[in-house]
Amino acid sequence: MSAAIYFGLVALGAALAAPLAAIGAGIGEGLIFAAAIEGVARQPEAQGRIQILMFLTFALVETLFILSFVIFFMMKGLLPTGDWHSIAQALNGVGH
Amino acid sequence: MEEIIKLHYVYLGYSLLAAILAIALLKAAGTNMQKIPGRFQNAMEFALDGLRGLFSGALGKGNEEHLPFVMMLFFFILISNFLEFIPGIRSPSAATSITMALGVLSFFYIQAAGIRAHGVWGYVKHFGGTIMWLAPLFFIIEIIGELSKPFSLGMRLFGNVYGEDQILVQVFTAMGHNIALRIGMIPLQVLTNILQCFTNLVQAFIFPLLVSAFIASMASHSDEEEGGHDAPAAA
Repeated sequence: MSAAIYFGLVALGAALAAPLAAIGAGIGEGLIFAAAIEGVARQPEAQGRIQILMFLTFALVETLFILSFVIFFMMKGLLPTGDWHSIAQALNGVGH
Repeated sequence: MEEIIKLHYVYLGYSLLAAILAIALLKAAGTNMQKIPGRFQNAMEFALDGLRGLFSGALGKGNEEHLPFVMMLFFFILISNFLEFIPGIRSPSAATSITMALGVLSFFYIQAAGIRAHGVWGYVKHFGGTIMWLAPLFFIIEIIGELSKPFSLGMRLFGNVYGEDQILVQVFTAMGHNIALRIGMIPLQVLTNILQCFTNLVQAFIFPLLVSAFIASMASHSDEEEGGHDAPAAA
């Protein structure tokens, strides 16, 4: 019974990690690119410098989403693949 | 546990291959330089000129001596990211050992740059902040911030490359164990490879850019102590 609860919660965590992080990442990156595009629209000569800043801040915001992506793969490793042998392995803490 | 350690030895071998390839590439670019450059020399000159301008701008005025380290980071990470396009070879950036090693190395280099620029007492005073009587609080905040830098640098690179690798694996195994369906997913993998090229380039860019921004904030903060710990002074 508790094995079912454990697997259920791990699966829930794995399923919800990336989408919830994607919400914040999407909003943040949208703001970054909107600011970059508006800056270039106001002053097209500054495109080189604005591009550099845009890529830098994009990578910083993307990092947070990538960290939760890694957490998804870590949790996916804890889940069994369906047959009894892999369930026994996952309960013993083997999966890597 | 032993398999994981053996796996990281495999990644260590691949990173050695990446280092040898990077050295060979730059060595080949530097020998037999002609006045009227051929295609390869032209491309390398263009790339190195652009990178030098970018990283010099991020490093700040008096910090040109740190440029070789930053360029080394860029080329090593670029080659080791692109190494996964060779069939049978895995990218060493997809291992936490390699990327966290790069992060820790950059951390020690940044602290050494700060000590060299300000002396030991000046370096310790840097953590105190500007307001005198808030110094203990500032110490804790700044030290925690400094310690989080190598972790975030390493995990950013690892997460991006490992995540893209895993996307490829999921695309390959999406249809179950049927081998014909798996081979049929390879054209979709080609599209993912194009996205991987972009991610490889951006991550190889961002790591040295952030390291040079950290060096700039450590090694030369004469009057201004704005919260510009991350903002590069783009030339």
